[in-house]
Amino acid sequence: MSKAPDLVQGTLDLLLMKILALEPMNGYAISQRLKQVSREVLQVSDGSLYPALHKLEQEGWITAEWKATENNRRAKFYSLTRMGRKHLEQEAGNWARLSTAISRVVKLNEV
Amino acid sequence: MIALRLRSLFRRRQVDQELDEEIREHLDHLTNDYIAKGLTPREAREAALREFGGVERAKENCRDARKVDWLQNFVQDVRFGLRMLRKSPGVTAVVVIALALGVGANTAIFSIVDGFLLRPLPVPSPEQITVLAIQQKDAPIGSSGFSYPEFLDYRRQAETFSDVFGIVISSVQLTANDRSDQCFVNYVSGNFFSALGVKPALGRLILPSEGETLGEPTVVVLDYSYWQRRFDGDLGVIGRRILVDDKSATIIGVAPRRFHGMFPIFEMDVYLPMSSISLEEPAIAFWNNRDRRRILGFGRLKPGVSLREAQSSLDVVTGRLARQYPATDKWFTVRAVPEKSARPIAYANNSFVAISGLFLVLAAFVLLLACLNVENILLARGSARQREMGIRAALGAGRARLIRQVLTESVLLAILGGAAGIAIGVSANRWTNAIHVQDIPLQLDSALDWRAFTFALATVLFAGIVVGLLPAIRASSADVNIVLHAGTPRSSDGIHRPGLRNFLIVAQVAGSLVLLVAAGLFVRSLQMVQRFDLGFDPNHVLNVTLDPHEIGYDEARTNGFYRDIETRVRALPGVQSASVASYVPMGGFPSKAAVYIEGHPVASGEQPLRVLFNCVDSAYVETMRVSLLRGRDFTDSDSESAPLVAIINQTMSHHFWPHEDAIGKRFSMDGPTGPFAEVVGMTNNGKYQTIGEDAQPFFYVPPRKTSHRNAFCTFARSFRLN
Repeated sequence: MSKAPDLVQGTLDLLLMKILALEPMNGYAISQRLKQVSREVLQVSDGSLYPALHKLEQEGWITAEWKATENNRRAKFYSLTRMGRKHLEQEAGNWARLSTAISRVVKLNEV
Repeated sequence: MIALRLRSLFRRRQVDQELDEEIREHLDHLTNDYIAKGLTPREAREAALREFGGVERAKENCRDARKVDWLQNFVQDVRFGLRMLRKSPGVTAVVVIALALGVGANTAIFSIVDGFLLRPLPVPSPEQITVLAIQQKDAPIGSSGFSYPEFLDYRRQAETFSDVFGIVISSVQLTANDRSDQCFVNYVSGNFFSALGVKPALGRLILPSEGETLGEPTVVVLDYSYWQRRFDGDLGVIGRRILVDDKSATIIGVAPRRFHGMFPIFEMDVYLPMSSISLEEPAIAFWNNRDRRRILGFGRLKPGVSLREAQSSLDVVTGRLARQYPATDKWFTVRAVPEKSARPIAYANNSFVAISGLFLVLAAFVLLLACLNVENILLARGSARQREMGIRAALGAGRARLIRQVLTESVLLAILGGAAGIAIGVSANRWTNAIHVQDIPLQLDSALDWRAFTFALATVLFAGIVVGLLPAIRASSADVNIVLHAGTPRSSDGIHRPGLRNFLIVAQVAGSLVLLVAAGLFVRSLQMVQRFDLGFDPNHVLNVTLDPHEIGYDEARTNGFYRDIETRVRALPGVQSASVASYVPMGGFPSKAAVYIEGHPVASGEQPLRVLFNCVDSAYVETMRVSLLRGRDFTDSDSESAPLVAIINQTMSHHFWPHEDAIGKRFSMDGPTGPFAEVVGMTNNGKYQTIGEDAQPFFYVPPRKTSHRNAFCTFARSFRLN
């Protein structure tokens, strides 16, 4: 595997919010899903996950709730708020435009 | 969002513990995964830790994320806000001035209203103090008082009151330091100060044991501001002997600073014990006559007693007294009214409250206009800052963050404006407090106490948030792309219609117009009042009120005294005419007499109408320029000789002799059988007590040996100067 690309902080927020948009989950599940979906390309250390989650919670885009899991233990489940959903749409749109623009430039054939 | 931030502030330990638990769970999960893959527990643990990354660092980063957000952002916002304000000094100045005027006006007026209506009496447990409003059936409101024996009965018998006390308001002549002046006095029952729970500022106050036995030495308690004004705050006044109405008296103390008696709006200069009322009138009559009603009664409820219980106990006493003394006490009721509801005086209708409400509303209006003004300015500035907002958004600022930042600026402006406004309010109050009109015992003691200050603060914050919210929301909703790519900031892009700003301008103009109209109406009313037809010409008239009875003249000597003075005044250069009358129109307490028309006996069960009158000499009509519509004026012979005469006004003529000529008709002011006075003249209608009064009947009689109940007459002398 080549060197994993660095992730800008803003983009990590986008990823986290998108994952939570599909269903609420706890920190462990989020990190597993992230690795799974990006097919191991994106390496996010679990340690940097939690500060990002907390920041999102501060901004009011996600909200957390302690719930009981199977095994009779409790875990903190995060879910997306309505404001978060709106913000996600905005950011996703921006990202799409940005990445399309970049791809177009990169795909330019050399003359 | 707020919850996490607050929790991170106040329950950091709990939040930290939760984070620990969360991370522990996560690690356990990872460990189990590795165990499932076949590692030993120990290896699994290590692998899990490796995969997680730095645990402690993660925790620290989380904590930092929380801390940075709260306090640091706030400080950042404030600093940046101040910088922005400094950068546009013109806008800042305009906004601050607008807000200062709004807040200042509100603070000043609220302080005044607070002083009259809202501030409790400066005594312990002021909510227990009630006014005992005694009312005679069918009499105009506020015209009754308690007689002394009646007051004693209530004091002894009203069980729900821990104390019943009373005052009589009057005026006396106080001579001290070689100067005499007229003072307003409260004659108080002995338990006045003790019932109220007031402590002296200097010396001592009147004790319950003093004040209600005849023949006691006269002791004087000074009002605090009177003491400052008249005696320069001299600490040596205690024990000093002075003259009150020419009788010897001793000053024993000074009332506390903020205490102004039972009526905060009135300025009372001295407090004397009720026994000293013998200075004014025959003491025997006052102490024993149930019909002589001059006392205003108050009570302090026992703790825990409701108003209704108090009222029932009063009714019991009232019923008992009505049965015991049917001649004097029968048609009276006594109502217990909490002192606070009875301002400024118990018997006034509550137009005062309405007027205060009006002024508060007007002041609030001014603030509203100021806010609209500021709002418009901030909106304009907001759209000019769209680029800045766009850049901030692109850098990752959330919408709430942007709003908070702009809001901080508005609140800063509001605080600056508010501080200036409070300063304006305080100096305005200092000016109104200093208003001390000669002869009118009105005072405005307003101070910026905690109530007014809280009000001002609330106003300021309200203004800041309300005003700042809309521009903040507007500014933060800038669409990043549009803004960053636009060449120049446009004042109206497709998103923000100018509708709101136009609406604000219209609202401002409309509001200002309302205030201007209100101001104009006030000015007009004042002008009209000055030009009112009073029925006489008050210009170039001087009057003097004397009471020779106060220095012991008897009737014959008094008459001689006045004749002498009149002659000498008429001889003064510049004096056109002079006259004597028993009361000054619009300025005193006129007498009333029941009028019995000759030939029209009063129907049984009905009361004869009581009409105001004035005893005037023959020069009065000429001196006061009362217009005589018909008939003749009094002549000098009218006062001495037998046939009684009278001059009536138009309203009286219409009332008693509707379609006839009143001249020559006769009526009596003494009884249904006379002696009758013949009407010799008719004057126009005038104002006799207040400017706003309705037309009322009135008549003049020449001075005569009065058989009337007033034991003394105060004469006013008017002379016209060229």
